[in-house]
Amino acid sequence: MKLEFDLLSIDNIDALKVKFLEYISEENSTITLDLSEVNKIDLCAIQLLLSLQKTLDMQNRELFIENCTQSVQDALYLCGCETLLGCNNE
Amino acid sequence: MNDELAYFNEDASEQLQMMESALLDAMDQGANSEYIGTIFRAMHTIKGIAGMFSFDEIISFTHIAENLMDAVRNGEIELDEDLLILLLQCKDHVAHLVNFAVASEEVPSDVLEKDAQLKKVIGEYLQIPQTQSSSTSSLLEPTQKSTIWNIEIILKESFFQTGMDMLSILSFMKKMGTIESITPHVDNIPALAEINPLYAYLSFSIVFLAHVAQSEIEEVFEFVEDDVELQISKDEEEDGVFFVDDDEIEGVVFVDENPVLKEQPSEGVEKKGTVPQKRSQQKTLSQSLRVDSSKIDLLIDTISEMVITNAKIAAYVDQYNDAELEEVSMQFESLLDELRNNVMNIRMVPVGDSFEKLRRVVSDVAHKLEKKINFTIIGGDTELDKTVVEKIADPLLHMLRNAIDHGIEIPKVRKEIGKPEMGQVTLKAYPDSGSIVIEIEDDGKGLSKDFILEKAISKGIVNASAELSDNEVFQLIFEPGFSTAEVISDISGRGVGMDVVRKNIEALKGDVELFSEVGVGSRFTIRLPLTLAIIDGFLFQVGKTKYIIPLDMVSEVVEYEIHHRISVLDGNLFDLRGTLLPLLNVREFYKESECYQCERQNIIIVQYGRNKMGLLVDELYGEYQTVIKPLGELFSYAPGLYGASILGSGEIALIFDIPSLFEILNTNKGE
Repeated sequence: MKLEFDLLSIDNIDALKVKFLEYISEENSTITLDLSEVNKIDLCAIQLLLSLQKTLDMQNRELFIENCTQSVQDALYLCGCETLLGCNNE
Repeated sequence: MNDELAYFNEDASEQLQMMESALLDAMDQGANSEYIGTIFRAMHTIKGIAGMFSFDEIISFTHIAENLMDAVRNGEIELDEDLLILLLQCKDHVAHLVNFAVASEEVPSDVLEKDAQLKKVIGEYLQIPQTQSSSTSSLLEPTQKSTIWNIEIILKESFFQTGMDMLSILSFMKKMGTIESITPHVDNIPALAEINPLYAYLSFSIVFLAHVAQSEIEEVFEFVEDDVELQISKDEEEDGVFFVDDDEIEGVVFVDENPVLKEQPSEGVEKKGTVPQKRSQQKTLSQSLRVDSSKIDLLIDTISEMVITNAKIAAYVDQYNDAELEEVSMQFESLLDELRNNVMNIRMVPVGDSFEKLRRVVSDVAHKLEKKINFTIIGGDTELDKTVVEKIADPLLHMLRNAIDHGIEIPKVRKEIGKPEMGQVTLKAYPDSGSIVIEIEDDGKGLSKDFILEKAISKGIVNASAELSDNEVFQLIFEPGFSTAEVISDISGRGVGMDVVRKNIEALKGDVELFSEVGVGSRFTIRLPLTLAIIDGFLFQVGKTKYIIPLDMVSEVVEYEIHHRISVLDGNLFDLRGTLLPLLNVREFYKESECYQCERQNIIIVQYGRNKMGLLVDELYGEYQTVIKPLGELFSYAPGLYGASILGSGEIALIFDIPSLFEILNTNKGE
């Protein structure tokens, strides 16, 4: 699923949560998020990604994040979440 | 601008202002360690707060300026006049950078050029004493002498709502040193269905390698200190890395494998050296609190409503003669009075800070015009409403420029006419009967009445046949289109000046007057109201209407008797113990048809500035806590009224605008 936000931050965090809830309501065993459109992310949004991951984990499902922009990669690296959330760039 | 940016802006401006004052003081009185410390701290603090926002241009510039000041502080570079001028330029430059950063604008190329140029000059200064400067530049490149810090950061739920992003803080830490490792703890994050995404549940363990003291790490979190739990400790297993802070330890170097022995001395010295100082600094910081001024307005509004409600209780007491309730109501009133004064006091700020800013302008203008000015500020601790202080700054600036440009003569001329070469410009503030007076006085060439009158006639501002008093002639310079500048300069205006000055002051319910004497100098007197919302009033009645005057303006009250009466033309004078004063018959003035308790009439004598007048009124009620409510548009042409107040009985009382009544009286006299 492509996240069509330029910015993932506290400003649109509620909308993002609604979107994530929609995703997990589908029955797939894995969820793949494409972050190629996201040019900026803050810790609030990273925390929500972690929550999404935790939720899927509890249901024995998996989260894949792919196509992170440089800025998102830098942000994940900075707060030490790069291995937790692991980004696959093709 | 969001709140944090506004704080940043405010903080940076405050620091820059302190820096400028210190620089100017150092110019006047010579450098001392206090001034040097202030200048250093300004650059250091701005660097720190800019770091929170990742304002790289500001960080990089203030870092270099800070190094320069550090070298000055250590006595490696002398703070001479050239350096002071350079530092003033640095201050201006940082102010520019702050403006662009706050407006989220790209820094334009000319400013970047200036940046490079200033950095180059500073670099030249720093190169001369190479001996120790490497130890001062540890911000960007951590040296091998770094300490290993273990930092635990637990974000409180409220953290995200501070508007600060943890990522900015981390990236600033990366500039201070090296983040060896960072481990996020995610156990507390709830599942998606339960999470409140606005709350923070994260915490971090960080191993941080940097040549900094603990207090410097704490400073990084200064903006969010209420919203994080912070634990900082030195790494016990600090193998092979030892900490020598060359600022604090002289000639002591430890090489020891025993961590206990190694820890104690270095930490002991460090704690004694820096921590207590920083602590005391933090203490003073926490004593002041930044509050949005609209919150105080809200508080004042609420108190206003409480005053009105209490007035209703008082009216009820009167009606039913309830002594117990009366006591409660009176107690309540005095508490309200206290509360009101305390809240009003929050809004009051000393005018001194705002005046200090003008010193720079005076110094710049004087340099530009090659004049010598001794600028004196008197009464800087006089307090005035914050909004008034902010709005008065521009008019003052204009008048000061005028005084220097048109008033003070050049040194050569002053010498010739026997005045000291150094011109005197004084800015003075003091309270006076319910107002605050600000005076700008110079000992320059003064203004000639004939010259003003001639000019005003030639510009068509007054009629050639008009007979004007001296005072009235001086006030002509505030008329639109009047400019006395013989040569238009870039310092003071093009004839758009003084009328705008007057308009700005009148918008604050104040007024301005000029007094001048040829060859001796000029004096501008600005009179401003002390407060804007609730006043102590004096309540009285004329006919069917109740009126209020600000109590501070009432100088005395007398019963109107036959001997007061003077029969001149329209009877608008009265005799007060041998002095003739103008008398306004309020009943006639507002065309009240009948009198109230006609057997006894009273005169209230009011004073405003140098002027006194009497108001002929019917019944007096005395002191009354008055909440000023604006009058509707319908009343905008009603002469002499400022606003209205709601009395306890629900009646409306009209509040007199005394300054404008004096004006009306003067105009009537003219006719």
